[in-house]
Amino acid sequence: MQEPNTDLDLTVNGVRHHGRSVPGDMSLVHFLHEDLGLTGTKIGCSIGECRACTVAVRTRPQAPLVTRQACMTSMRHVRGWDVTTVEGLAAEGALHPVQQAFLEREAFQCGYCAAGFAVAGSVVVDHAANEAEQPLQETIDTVLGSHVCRCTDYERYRAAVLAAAQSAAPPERELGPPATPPETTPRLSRTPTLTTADTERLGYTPVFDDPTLELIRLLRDGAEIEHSLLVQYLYAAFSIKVPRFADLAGWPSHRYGGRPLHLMGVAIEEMTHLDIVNSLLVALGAAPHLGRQQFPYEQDIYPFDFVLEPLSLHSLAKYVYVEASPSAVDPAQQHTPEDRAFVDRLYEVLGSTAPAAPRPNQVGSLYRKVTRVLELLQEREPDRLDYTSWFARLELLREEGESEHFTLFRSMFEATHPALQDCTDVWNPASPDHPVVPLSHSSGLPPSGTPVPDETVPALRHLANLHYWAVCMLLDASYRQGMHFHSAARRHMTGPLRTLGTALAHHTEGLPFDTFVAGYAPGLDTTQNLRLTHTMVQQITIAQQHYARHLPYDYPANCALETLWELSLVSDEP
Amino acid sequence: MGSDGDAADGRMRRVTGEKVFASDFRPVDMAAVGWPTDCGHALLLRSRHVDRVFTGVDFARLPVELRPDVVVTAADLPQPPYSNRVSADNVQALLPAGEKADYIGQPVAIVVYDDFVRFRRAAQELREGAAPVVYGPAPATGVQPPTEEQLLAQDLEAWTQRSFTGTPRQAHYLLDATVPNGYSHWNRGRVTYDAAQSTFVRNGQPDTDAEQLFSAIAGDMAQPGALGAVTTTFTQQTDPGFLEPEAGLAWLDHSSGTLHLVLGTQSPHGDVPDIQTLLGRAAHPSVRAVRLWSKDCGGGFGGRDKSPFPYYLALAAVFAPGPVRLAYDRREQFQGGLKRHASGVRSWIRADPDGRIRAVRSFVVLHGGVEANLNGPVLGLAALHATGPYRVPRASVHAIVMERAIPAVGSMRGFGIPQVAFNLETALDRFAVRGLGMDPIDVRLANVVRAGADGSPGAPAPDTDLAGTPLRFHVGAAEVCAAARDHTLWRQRDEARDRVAARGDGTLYGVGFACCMEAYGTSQDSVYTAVQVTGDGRIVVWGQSVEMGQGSRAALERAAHDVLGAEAVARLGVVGPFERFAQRLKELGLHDQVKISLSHGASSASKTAFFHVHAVREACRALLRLRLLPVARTLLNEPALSDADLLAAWHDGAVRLPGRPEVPLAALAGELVRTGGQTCVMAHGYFCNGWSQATFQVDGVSHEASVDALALVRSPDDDPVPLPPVGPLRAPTARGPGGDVVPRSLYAAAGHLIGVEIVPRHGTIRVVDAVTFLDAGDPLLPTALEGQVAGGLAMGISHTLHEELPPETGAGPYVNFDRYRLARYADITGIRRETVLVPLPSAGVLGPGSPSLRHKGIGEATMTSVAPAVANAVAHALGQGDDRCWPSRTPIRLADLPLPDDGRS
Repeated sequence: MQEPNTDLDLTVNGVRHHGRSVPGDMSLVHFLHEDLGLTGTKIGCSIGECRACTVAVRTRPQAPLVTRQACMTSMRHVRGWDVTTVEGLAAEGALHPVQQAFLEREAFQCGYCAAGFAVAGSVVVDHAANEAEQPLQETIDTVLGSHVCRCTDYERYRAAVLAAAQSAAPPERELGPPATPPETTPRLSRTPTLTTADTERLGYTPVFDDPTLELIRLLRDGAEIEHSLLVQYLYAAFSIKVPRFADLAGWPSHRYGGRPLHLMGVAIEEMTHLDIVNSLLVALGAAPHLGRQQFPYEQDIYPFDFVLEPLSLHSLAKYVYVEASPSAVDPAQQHTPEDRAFVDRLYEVLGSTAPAAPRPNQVGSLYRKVTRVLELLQEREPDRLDYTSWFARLELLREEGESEHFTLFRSMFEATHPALQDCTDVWNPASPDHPVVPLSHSSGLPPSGTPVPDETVPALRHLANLHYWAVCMLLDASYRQGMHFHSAARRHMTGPLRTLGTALAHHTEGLPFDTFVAGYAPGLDTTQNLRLTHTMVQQITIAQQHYARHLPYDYPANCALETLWELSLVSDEP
Repeated sequence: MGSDGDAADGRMRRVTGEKVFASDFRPVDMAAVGWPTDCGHALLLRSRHVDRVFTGVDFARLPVELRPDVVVTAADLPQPPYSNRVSADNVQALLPAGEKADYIGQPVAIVVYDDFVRFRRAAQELREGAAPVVYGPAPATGVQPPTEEQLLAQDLEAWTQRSFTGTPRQAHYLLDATVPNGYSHWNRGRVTYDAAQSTFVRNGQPDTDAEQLFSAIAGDMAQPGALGAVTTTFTQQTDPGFLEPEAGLAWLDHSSGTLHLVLGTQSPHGDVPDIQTLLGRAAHPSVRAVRLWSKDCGGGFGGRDKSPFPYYLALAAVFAPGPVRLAYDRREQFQGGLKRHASGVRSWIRADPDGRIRAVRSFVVLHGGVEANLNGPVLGLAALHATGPYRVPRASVHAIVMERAIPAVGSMRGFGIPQVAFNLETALDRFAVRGLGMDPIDVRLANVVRAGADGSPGAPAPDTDLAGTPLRFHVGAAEVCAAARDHTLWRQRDEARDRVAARGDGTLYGVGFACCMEAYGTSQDSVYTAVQVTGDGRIVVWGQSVEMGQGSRAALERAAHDVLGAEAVARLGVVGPFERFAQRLKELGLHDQVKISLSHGASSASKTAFFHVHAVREACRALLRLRLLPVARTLLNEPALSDADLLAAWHDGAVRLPGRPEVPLAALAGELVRTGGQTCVMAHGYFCNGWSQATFQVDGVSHEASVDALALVRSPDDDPVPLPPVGPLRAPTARGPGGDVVPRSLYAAAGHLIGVEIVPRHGTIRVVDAVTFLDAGDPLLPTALEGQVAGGLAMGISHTLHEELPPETGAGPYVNFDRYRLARYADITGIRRETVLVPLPSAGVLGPGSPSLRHKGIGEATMTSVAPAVANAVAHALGQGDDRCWPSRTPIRLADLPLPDDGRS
């Protein structure tokens, strides 16, 4: 669904832009180009790979300066950011030392990548004084490691950034005021009990009288469901035969916003749903929730098991059902012969697992409950949250599920999806037009106490688990810290996890997506959680070195190193 | 029509984020020249099938808010006036409904949105889902078609049997230097092959001599026990990967009928007439003129040389209500951009026991796309270079390009030569080690060509190239090989290998060498330039070349500075003034009489240093002699000063006569401006196996020029009336006894010593040492030259070890830098790198009696020998105990190699 505009509050090169709204799905680089007229930040790939679009960012006033890829950053994520682009590097008429060094050493040739290198170099220089643990050269190699230049061999860039960083006088470390604690001071007022009228308005009887506690209960359920759906759809996307059915899988897609056209598009939206649910949890003063049960997933909220399985008519029937509005799969409410035939066919396919009394989509119902409880909270504590914004986001979430996801899955179920045009007998595995590789699913966890076998499939499964767990830990930390690690989490998903999933699919194996029994915030506090996340990512670097010869050629080894660097910038923060 | 070029100080603007590239510009940046400030945004819809009929576009399949404001389809391009084509071979610009696509990814419609946010949202949807493009039924699913790799192997097999019929593009060279005036292109002219008659054909007649030579060489190779090697190699299709996806801005100003294009292109002079042809020239109802505003390219590498992109930009603007922007995203660039040809090559080498090559036989298959670019020229160069920098007494080389229904494959950096060099240089290496038991560089030195440019009396006749063209001009191939043989990295390669092996961690190390000679220029290079002085003594150079990182701007500025002694600013990508000059020269008709071409060439990394720099220097010399120095007589008040005295007194930008005041350029230029004199010289030069020359007489001064046309004007925008030459224009000797124009005569040699580390347990091959040996002549801009050396090495490594188009390429806009991994910073930093420039003799590139030129075009040679050198290093690391130690395809993957057992537990 096309998401609503988002309030603009962004500082670019020292100028604050606020007091109006911009499309939430617009990328930062397009905002810079088309809205502000700043075209110094370049677009090379639009998916955060080449780093031509690198800008320097403080996500909040005391946050460390980090690099961000403006092409893959949506405007809805940048509220409060302080961004420096290449146009803002020079100060008071003097070039930044990195810019000067680039010119002196003729570091670039065509120069299209120069802006990205200059900004990334300026971030290194900014940190130069604080790099006691990591040698400067190592930091430079980590920060610049993923950049692409097609004209040079990078050595002049390397030397120029090193020179600029070395000559930058070590600045006095500016400690500044302590970071503002989140505004979630516990409220110790007495909980009013629910009235009959309240219950009637809510349409159900909540477990708790306190709307906050009830919301947390519902939202954690929601988070778990969104997470489960996300993982299932991702798993299914890897089961699609490419290139022939690439439009069904949607691998090249990295977009956020707009209606989903393929499995990847739905998975990305589930990811944004997970964002919304977790952000609301955090806004309520609750911890984010990245947990989910190990598959198969038996919950009374759905009438059948969730399992990780390749796409099939049966799995599609479940997805259609899961994403349907109550009326869309109610046999009594079908008005055309096509719709009636569709619903009949749906229950026929669901067959053995369909309940005697159909219980259509509970996700939509869940969010309707959340909306009504939130309305109750608004009545009781009108100043606590930006309710208008949360209602809008919840509406988006419900609409995307019940309308767009349903429509998409129905088109796949009925084989009317454009990628399946001209195909016959699509969902018969024996058909030449069957778009699915029969992936088999196994756990990536080695039997207790034994090493992961030094063979390709177990090695890839193991690494995939590590990246998946790191993503969950990064997301958990990110929700708690103003989305600070979202970019890193996405990098692990679109880079290593994508390439590992593709490589496993070549072996007709699926991603394991094992749950991490310790959860994704196993530490005592934020500092400990960040340290443990750091340790998890370090485990990736150990494993990717150990199993290097099993890795696919497009595996991006620098991804974990970059995340370690970003984590190192904040791990000693209070 | 024409271009204003771009006179900006590019480097500072780049590092501060100012507008430099075509993609940076918006209409508001053109407001000063009358553009409206808003623009629409265009997107191409492409066909994803070649096996089913495209039936139309159905925007009802899009949400209402995402439907375009303007749609252009083939139905909007009636002929006349339009010529709906992007090539001479009838490849349509827009596929009409009711037809099957000429190639996968052929555009079927251009859509335009008047608002960026709607455009962006629609673009996301249209790039991911092709629903609005509707096709007829698919053919019945049959046997799985072969992969591109399987097809290439099949085609190579068939080609070695000469079993193709029809008329796909072919190139053949047959050479017999064992007898005086033996068979060659130079002695006999061009030979072709008629598959239907199974015979070679020359001048329309069966050529039995060619057939006999072909059979004799084939027979020689097949002799039982003959000392030789047969080598089959494959190289992959690659993407230029320039970092700025193609982008541009266009506006049809209806008030004047001028179609303005803001564009970064390597072929501004080709693009404008091509667009005029597309639009129907004078017959077009609203476009009266096409004006190109040339901007710097964010990389080029051949991928912007006659790219189809400008056609679509122009069409979008013709049908849009106002200015329009077309900007590919990376996936579209991969889908629709020009690529390098994949290749399959099989060669036979026959040699004597002392290592001297007796004959080479080679079959080359290039996999091209639809013929919308430069399949033919790339094929021609691949064939011409199939015997490398070696004296081959008898050769039989046969190349073909298979045009496939995939996006156009073009003239990417190297121009077909890296593909054949990979075969020949790995073949020679393996043959030297395993067939002859000799040092591979010694074998090369025993065979390397010697050119004849030193002019010393009694010197032996120069060797020839594969076409039989005598190598009149300098080629430093022998010096490259000798320098490599003497280099420590080579001499101590076995010890270094042992040292690494002794570490015991499974790591392998090896050193390999490969070399090449690579033609630069296009055989018939026609070059225009203009040099102007301003009243305050600054110099403006007007050039045809474009800046894409190769340093063209700085090189031309430097060339002008060297002659005129003052700071110069270059305006590049200039079109209009030179077209007017060409028109004037055509009207005179002198050039046509002596077959001097007046065409306009494209810009490549190898053209500036030799061709454009020469033309600039000649223009500067003419301006100095014919206009500036005569003013010195007035300023010094010495009307009797001779031309020779003045010329001799010109140093470092001033007339410095003993006992007289110094007269700097600024004074001369100021006086010239004050008196209304001409401050600008426009020049045309032509190179084809030598420079054209002419004599001009101006105000009593006789000026011998190594260009063939001059005009004295006040500004390049003036009508350039050519100076009448004294006597005929002197065209170079362009043809051999056989009557055909020589294919090439200018070559630069290069070689690479590469050290690799193979870590089997990590599955990695990494280049750790690299020495580039380069026959560049004198460096014009040492830092820029070193940049080309480093960049050529990096691209070569990337092609050899990293780049691989995934199978989904072409089927849709699916490929990006996540799947197509080119060498990143982390992949190639830390190489121990060195450059060795081999010296150029005092007679320069062209030798005695020719203009003294001391720079060669090396933008491509710096890359060509990297892949075979890496492969040979891999073989050395693996112990060379088995023919399979030499990789036979790129990208090199460890899985294809015979690794020691302990490395792959």
